[in-house]
Formats: sequence, C-alpha cells, structure tokens
Amino acid sequence: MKTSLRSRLGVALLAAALSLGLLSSCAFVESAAQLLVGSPQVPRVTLDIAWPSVESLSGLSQQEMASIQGFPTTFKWGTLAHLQGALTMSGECSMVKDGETPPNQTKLSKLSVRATNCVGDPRCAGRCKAFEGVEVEIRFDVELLNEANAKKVREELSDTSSDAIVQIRLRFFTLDVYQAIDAIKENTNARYAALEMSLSGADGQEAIFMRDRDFDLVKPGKPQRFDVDSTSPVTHALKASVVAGKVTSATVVVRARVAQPDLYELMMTGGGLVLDAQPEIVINVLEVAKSKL
Amino acid sequence: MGHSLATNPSEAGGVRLDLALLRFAVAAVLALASATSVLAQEPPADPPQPPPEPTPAPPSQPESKPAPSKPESRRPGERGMGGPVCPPWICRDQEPDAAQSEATKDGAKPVTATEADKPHRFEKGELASVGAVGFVPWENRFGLVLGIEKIGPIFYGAISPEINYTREFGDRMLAMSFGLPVRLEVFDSRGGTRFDNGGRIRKADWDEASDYARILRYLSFGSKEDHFYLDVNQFKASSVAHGLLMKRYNPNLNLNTRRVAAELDAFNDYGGFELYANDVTGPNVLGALLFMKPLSFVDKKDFRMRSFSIGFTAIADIKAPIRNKLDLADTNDDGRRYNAIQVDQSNFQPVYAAGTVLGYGVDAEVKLIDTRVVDWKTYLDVSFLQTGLPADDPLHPKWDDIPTRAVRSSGWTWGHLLRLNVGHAPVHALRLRAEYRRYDPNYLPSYFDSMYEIQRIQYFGARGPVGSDLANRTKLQSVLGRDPGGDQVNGAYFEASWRAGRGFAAAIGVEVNDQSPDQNMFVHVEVPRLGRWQFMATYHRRTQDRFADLFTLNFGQTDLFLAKTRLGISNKFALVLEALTPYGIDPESVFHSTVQVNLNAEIGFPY
Repeated sequence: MKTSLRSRLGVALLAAALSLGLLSSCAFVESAAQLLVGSPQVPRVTLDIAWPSVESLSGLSQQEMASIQGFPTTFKWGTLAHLQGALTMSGECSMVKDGETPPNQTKLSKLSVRATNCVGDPRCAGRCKAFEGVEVEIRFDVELLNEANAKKVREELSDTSSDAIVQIRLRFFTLDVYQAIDAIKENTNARYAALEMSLSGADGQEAIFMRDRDFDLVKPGKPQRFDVDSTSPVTHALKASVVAGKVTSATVVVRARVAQPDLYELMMTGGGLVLDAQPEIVINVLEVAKSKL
Repeated sequence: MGHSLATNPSEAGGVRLDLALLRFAVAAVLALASATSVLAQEPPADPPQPPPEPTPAPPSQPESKPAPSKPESRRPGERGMGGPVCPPWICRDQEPDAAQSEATKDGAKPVTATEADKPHRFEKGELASVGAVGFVPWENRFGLVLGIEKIGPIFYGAISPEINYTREFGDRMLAMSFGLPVRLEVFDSRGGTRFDNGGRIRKADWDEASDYARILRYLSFGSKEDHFYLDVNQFKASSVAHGLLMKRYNPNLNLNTRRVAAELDAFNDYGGFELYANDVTGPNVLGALLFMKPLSFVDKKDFRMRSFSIGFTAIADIKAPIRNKLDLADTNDDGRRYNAIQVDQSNFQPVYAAGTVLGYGVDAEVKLIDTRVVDWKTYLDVSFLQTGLPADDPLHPKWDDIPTRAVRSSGWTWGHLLRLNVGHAPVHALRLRAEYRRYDPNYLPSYFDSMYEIQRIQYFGARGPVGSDLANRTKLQSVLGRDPGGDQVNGAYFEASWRAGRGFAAAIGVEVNDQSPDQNMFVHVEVPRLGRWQFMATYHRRTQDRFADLFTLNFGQTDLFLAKTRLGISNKFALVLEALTPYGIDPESVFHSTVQVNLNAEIGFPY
C-alpha cells in the first residue's frame, strides 16, 4: 500500500513538474521571447544641427535688408524676433531651408529646417492654429533598415505578420535644444512654449512621442526611451515595411515653438539641436516562430 | 436575486424560524473553525414541515407524477451563483469513499452520498456559476496544490496547502475552505534579473493585513435566496437585487490580485436585506438592498400580497478611477509613457486619481404565479448613476485636485423572472429573465458588471485600440461622460439558465440596446460532477458595437473565457486544467487579456 502511495505521489510530482514546464506558462514564454533589435543592426543616430542664419532662412539678400529702414544689415546675433521680421518682410509666413547632412551620418537624409511666422496669416493657420510666435521645425529621415539588413530580414521574417514587431522606440542619450554664446552651449528647453518630437508618415500623419517636459528627462548618464504609439498608422506603416524586408527610414520631426514675448530671448545664430539616439525595434519571437509553422 | 424570496405558505411563520437560523448560523460560523462539537449541542430549530409529499409515481406513469414540492423547496446545500463555486449540492458526494463515513459523535451529519430519493425543493436562485474564476475541487479534503503563476513580469512557483470542510447543519450547508498560498520566484522576465531571485518567497504576498484574508478561500452558510445566507469567498461573481446596478460582478478578474468578497442576505415575510463588499479587508465596491413587504401585514396567506415588495438598492465604488496616471517617468524603462498606465511596482496595480460612482434605485415586485411548478414574478425598477466628471481640459489633464462637475443619469426597467421546476430525479430547473429598459445615453444598466473590475480603469470597446487616451478612458468618464442630450436608449435583456439535477447546468444571456456600444452576451456550461470529472466554462463577450458583433468569431479584448476542469486520478491525486483569458497589467503597462493555460496538481487525502 505504501509503495502504491509512493508511486502515486511520484506520478503526481512528475505531472506537477510537467505542468510547470509545459502548460502553465504561455505568458512566460511570450514575455521572455521578446527580442530587442538595436545597435549594431539599427545604426545609432547622432546629429548636431545649427539653426540656419536668418538671411538664409528668410531668403532676403543683404541689399534687400539694407533697403528696409531700421532693419539690421547683418544677423551676427540674430534672434527669433529678427527671423520673424525677416519673414514678414519676405511676404511669406513659412519658409523651408534644406540642410546639409553631416558627412559621417550616412543614415541621415532629407534634413530640412522650416520657420513659420505665426501672426494670424491665414496661409499658415493650419500650422499655427491659435499659437502666436515663431515655430521652428526640423525634419530628417533616419535609416532603420539598410539594404543589407533588409535582405536579412526578408530571409528571416518572410510571411511574418507586422504584429511580430511589438514596439518601435528611440533611446536618447543626448537631446538638447541649445544656443551658444561665445562657444558656451546653454540648454534652452525651458524657453520654448512647446516642444515636441514625432515620426511622420508618407501621408503627413504624425505620431508624437515626446512633448515639452520629456525633453528635460534626457540628461547626461540617464538615457531615456520613448516609444512610438503602436496604434498610430505611422507605426503600422513602419512595421509593415520592416517586416516586408524593405529599406526603411523613419521621418523624425522636431518642433519648437517660441511665444511672441520670448522671441528676443532666443537666438538663431549659434543655436541648434543636438541629438544622440538609438532606434530600437522590439520583436516578438513567438509571432515569428508562429509564421514559420 | 430578487427580494421577494419567501412566498410559500410554509414559510409564513418565518420570523421565529429565521431568528433561530440566524442564531444558529452565527454560532456555527464562529465555532466551527475550532470546535465543531460545540455546535452539536445547539442544533438549529427545524424548519416547519410541509404536508406529506405524495409518493412519486414510477417513471412508467409520468402523467401521475406529482409536481415538485415547493414547501420543501430546496435540497440541503442547494445554491445558485451565490454559493461556493463548487457548491455542496455538487460536491457533497464527490468522493464517495470519504463521504460515506458514519455520522460523527457530535450529531451533525457529514456529507452523505445519495440524496436522489429525497423530495426536492423548488430550485430558485442562480442555477449555474456563471463567471466564477475557479471551483473548489473537493470536499472534506486536505491536500497540497502545486502550480505556477505569473504576476506582472515575474513567474512564481505556487504551493498551497488547502483544507476543505463541508457539513450539513439543520437544513443548510456550512462549507469552508482554507489555504496558505506561498509563491516562490522562478523567473523575472525583465532584463537583468532573470533567475537571480529564484526560490525567493514573494514578500508582497504577506506584507499587509489584507494578505492574510486570502487564507480564507471561502466560507458559506445557506444559499442565495435562503432566509439567511452568508458567503465569503475569492472566486465567484455576485449580483445584488435584480442586477440592475450590479450583476455578476467579480472582483477577481484581475489575476494580479486576489480579493475575498463577502455577502450577507437575510429576509422574512416582512422585509430583508442583501449586503455586499468586494473585499473584506478594505472594500471599494459596496452594495446594499433593503426591502420591505408591506402587504404581508394585511394578508400574508395570499402569495400576491405576501410577495409584493418595495426595495431600495445602493451600490458604490468609493475609489472609482476618474483618471489614470500615465507612466510618464517610464518606470519600467520600456519607453511607453503616454501609452502606458503608471503601475505600482510593489503590487502591479494601476495608479489613478479616484472619485466615487454611486448607483441607487428603487424597485417594486410582485408574483403573478406561484405554484409547485411555476414561479413568475414581475418587477419595475428605476435607478440612477451619479458621479463627478473631470471639468479640466482632457488634453492637459490634472491628476491631483481634479476639478469635477456633478453628473447624474437614470434609467428604468420592467422585468419578468420565470422559474420552472419539472421532473423528478433529476429535477429540471429552468430560469428565464426578460427585461425591457429605457435609459439616458449616459446611463448603463448593470454598471457594476462582469468586467467592471477591469473596465473601471480601461473602458475599452471591442474595436477601439486598447492603448489610446489611457488617462481618460476610465469607465466613469466613458459612460457618464457621454452626451446626455441624445435620445433615450431602448434596451433589452434576456437570460435563460437550466440545470438538470446535479449533472449538468447551462446558461445564456444577451443584453442589447439601440445606441451605445454596450451589447453583451454570455454562454456558460457546467458539468458539476460526472464520476471524478468536473467541468465549468464561461464565455463572455462584452462591449460590442452592434448586436451582430456578438456572434462573430473574432476573439478580442472584450471577450472573456474562463474554463476549468478537474479530473480525479484517484482519491489522493487529481489534475486541474484551466484555460483562462484573464486580465493583467501586461508588459505594455495596460490591461490586456492573455491566454493562460495552467495545469495544477492536487495531492491530498479525504477525511
């Protein structure tokens, strides 16, 4: 009888162990099977872009500026107030200046800076809405998947649903909107009425993933991750592109707004944006495995 | 469920009886934990006996078979949803070798094996355990349950010594179960930790007074719709009154937490009450029904006069989420901030700004038919929901000192409850409920419903993304914040349940309306016992946009599936397999349902 009991206990313990190992933990496997794809598969992005000069952004020549009474002929210390004046003189409410991609940043492209004068001009009402002041927008493309990696993805993720990509996010090591006076850089985040960073889709839709105070969270030695809303159409399109094994870039948009009373406080000359970020893609390996079955 | 519960002539003199039962129950509950023998010295008063039952005719003469006897309207231990999830009428003879022992010396009868030849009681109350998250696998056993559990990102090996005890006292069943669940960490799915803390006992399980309440798995005396009913447990769904404010609310759908809820009902021919608290150590959802039967004072021999009652119901969530806090500081370093709820890392519960949602209403009911086979009552209910909605800009939300504006909405319901008992051994009990409802656009019947525990935080619809506008997607804002200016909503509710003796139970319910995305349905199947096998499954589909959506094959976030089966390999060993789609804070820091398949081993012995 005792033997029988021992035998049954043995079977019970065996069954319990099996239950622990096999059936009990679908979620266990699921959460443990998330794979982070970052460096070196996805290149890290470093960018230090200086604001373009007031002249170049407004498109006014020295002669045109000189012809305007009271307007400075040079913008060595040009502020956003000067930029606003120059835009007004130019007759445009919004102007774009293509930037030059830093020579060692092959994964960056299509860099541009746009300045918008928000003073009630109906042509820019859609962009400005109720805001009054100047909006500066920096836009650039970041490479997520180059040709070589796209080929690997095609081989590994063929027939995989875009649901296999759990998350697209950026890990920021440095993020400063600054101005420099006498080569001393000063963080100016607090002086902006609004700061935001988003990913933009081909159809103009955007997924904002950083706002205002988020910019202050990124500090030296304290990198911060920011996830792009997984429900956004922009994210869906990116996921689909990655899973399809296409060369994929994401358009990053940084927007800074300075309210009318603060325009003299911020300079274009010597100002700019410094950014150091690692794009990351989180993949659910189970979803990938499922597609292979 | 209703409050006109005692209507049989034999119950007419129920005041004295009820007091006796009450005294007995309290004594039993207090004393049984330590010394059952004490109770035997104070047996309860016997209930008034009905007239002798005619002998049932043999099956070959079905036409002469007597109707079920309503005076003896309940088998001992019979219970509906209000009872333990494996109620005594199911479990009492589950282990024949254990149950067939002799009467103990204290005189109280142990659970016996066969009751089939007893005249049955009229089956009232819920006929199936719809929405229960577990069942009690065995009666009068001591044993060890082994399994694995996941809380947040951490997996634990779970070991729980448990003891169950069920005993018949008087005409009622006293059932209880105690357990001492201990979790040992196995694996932390977050990067960096993994197996480092393997084998460590989860301290958070035992660091608060409320944690010790979990030792009590359930304790119940009597049955729902008995004159006296006490139920304290961790598994079941509960309703108050006709369910127009609270229907099948289960505080344990979030499997990251375990609560011990309590319900106390009592009534006689002149009035009564139902009380409910979702957590005995610190409730946030509280409910009460008070009712009186004024016409009993005129003529309580007439079932219409005796059954007419007027009731007042109030249900409140005193910590209802107004607005969820978002994980703006990214406490778990996954980058999700605007799309993640801030989670208290000590207990993996969401953090939110709380207010109060109060539901209250009055209703009247009367029986139209009361025979040994058919019991038909109708009721009219007017209910209100009241709360404070945030008055600040939702795009720039505050989380502290949120300004609010008072909102109140209302609706009324006309309902019928038909109960039938046909056959004999087994008795086929049928329960049908049909309601017509008309209510404000920002009112919701059964606001405290099957999914309330989750949807109070995230009122996600079937089609909408789970993670959008998480801060303001609380049920309080999503329902009471709807535009009240639109047309009144017309709604209907239908529910049918059937139980065939002890062998099988099934239920189905549909809840529809002509405006809001709150179309609901459920299906439930239960095999209380077949040899050594038990089975129970509930499927809820909630918060659908259209009626047709209730019957599509897509399984979404508002579908809830709870299935559990137990197979006794021997008297000393059983396997319990469960397939659940519970809700928990997932790695994305939002409530998400996940498919969990668990297999637990039970090792123990009957006594």
